[in-house]
Amino acid sequence: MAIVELDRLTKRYGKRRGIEGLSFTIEEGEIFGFIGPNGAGKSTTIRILLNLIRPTAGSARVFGKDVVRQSLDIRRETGYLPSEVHYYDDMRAVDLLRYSAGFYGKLDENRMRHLAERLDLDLSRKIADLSFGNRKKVGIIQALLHRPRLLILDEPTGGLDPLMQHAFFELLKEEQERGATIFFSSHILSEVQRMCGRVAIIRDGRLVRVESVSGLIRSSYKTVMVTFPADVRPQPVRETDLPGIIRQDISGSVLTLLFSGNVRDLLDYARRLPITDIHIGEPSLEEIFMHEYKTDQEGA
Amino acid sequence: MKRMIYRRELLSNVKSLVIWSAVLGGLVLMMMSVYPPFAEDAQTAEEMLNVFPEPLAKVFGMDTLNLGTYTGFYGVEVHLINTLVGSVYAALLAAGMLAKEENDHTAEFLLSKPVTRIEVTGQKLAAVLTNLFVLNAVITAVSFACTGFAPCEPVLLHGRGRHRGKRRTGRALRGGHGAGQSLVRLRSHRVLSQQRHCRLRQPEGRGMPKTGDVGWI
Repeated sequence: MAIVELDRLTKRYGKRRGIEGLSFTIEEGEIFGFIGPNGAGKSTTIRILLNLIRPTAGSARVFGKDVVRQSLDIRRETGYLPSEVHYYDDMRAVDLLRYSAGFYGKLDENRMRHLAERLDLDLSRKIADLSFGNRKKVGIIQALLHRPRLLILDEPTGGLDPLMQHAFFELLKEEQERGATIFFSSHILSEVQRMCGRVAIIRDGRLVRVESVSGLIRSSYKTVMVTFPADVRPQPVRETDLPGIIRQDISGSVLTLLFSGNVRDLLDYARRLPITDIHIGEPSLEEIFMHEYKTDQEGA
Repeated sequence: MKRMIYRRELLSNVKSLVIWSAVLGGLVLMMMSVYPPFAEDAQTAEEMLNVFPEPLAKVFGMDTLNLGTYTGFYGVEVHLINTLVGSVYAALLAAGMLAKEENDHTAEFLLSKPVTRIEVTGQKLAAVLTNLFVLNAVITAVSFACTGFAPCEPVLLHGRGRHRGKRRTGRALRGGHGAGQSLVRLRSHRVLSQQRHCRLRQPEGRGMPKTGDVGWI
């Protein structure tokens, strides 16, 4: 069952672009990544899902319910972590969580303590005294506390140290096992790669593509690192010598290629070079992403 | 889920409510404590009225209220203060309560919870009204207490004093709780006889109230 469906969703702020004709669906139980550079329209999309802002055109459905007309039902089963967490400074963390939980019904005190322990957060501290990262933790607990069916996380890891990020991802995995669907926006590709099954790539308010992370990585792209002897300066590879080079980069005596051509051609070509080492591997999402963006920009 | 926002707003505004109530209550008390010396000299009242230009006097209601009587004095002075300061409080409270969610960016938190905007505004409005009700209750209580400054006070209490002794008079004069009570009781059953008392036992040396001015009860 589709938990989130966007249908040609559009938001314009006057003449300014928000998002333009966004369509994709998120299935139940998925961890779905939403990646794009700053200002691409990630937060705009998320805010429409929560009815914080109204779409200009198109529609969106969550749990099969319309985001504008049945927003209350949607929000009852949704946990939301905004990219910037702002809370009432006069409250202690525990007060904020109790306040937040009050909107959903009964507070699960044990779960609150458990989550705080996992994230190493002192609940008795005042919100005003908390660091950015600690506030984020309050936000995470606040979003998870009522066991939502859908978790919407807008750049959730900002401000968390690596240890906490790890704990956080563990929590998300547990949520997924519980059956929750997670919609996760980020501009940090490695965390999307680590967590998500599928990703939507968005740029300048438009959807670039939706693909599974493994598919994105496995799509015939290879990174090739060719190391030359220290006294040889590598030359750029010409298209006529080796077709299929998407990007190349020379630093010192190392030539790095993003390659989508025939591997046999690559090996034939490499054999004629005075190389000391060659490494062929899967590119990181980062590298593909850079490429996607570049071609998209060139096309536009 | 029920009334979360209402409760939160009440709690977080308790401090300001206490301060505003104390200040306004204090102001009422102060204004009314000026009345006895003011009333002793009827001339002052007259002069004061003349000082005000007519339109201004009208604004303060001085054309219909007589500064020389207790009710008139109360109406002009206390009503003015209450209206001015009270409206400032009401406006600050209500505007702040709504605007702070937006200014502090907490609206994004609040509106992502399962509440409608109407409910948010409604609960906040209820909190404002509750605060204003409490403020008004305090002012009313202080006003009743202030009847201790009213000219007829010793006579009014005489109705009770018959059984309780004269000590109550002193307490009432200081503006204690008893004054308000006696006034209420007086209203309910003894108005006519008290009026007679009032006229009869009007303390010498005080100009107020004039015959027929018992309406202050």
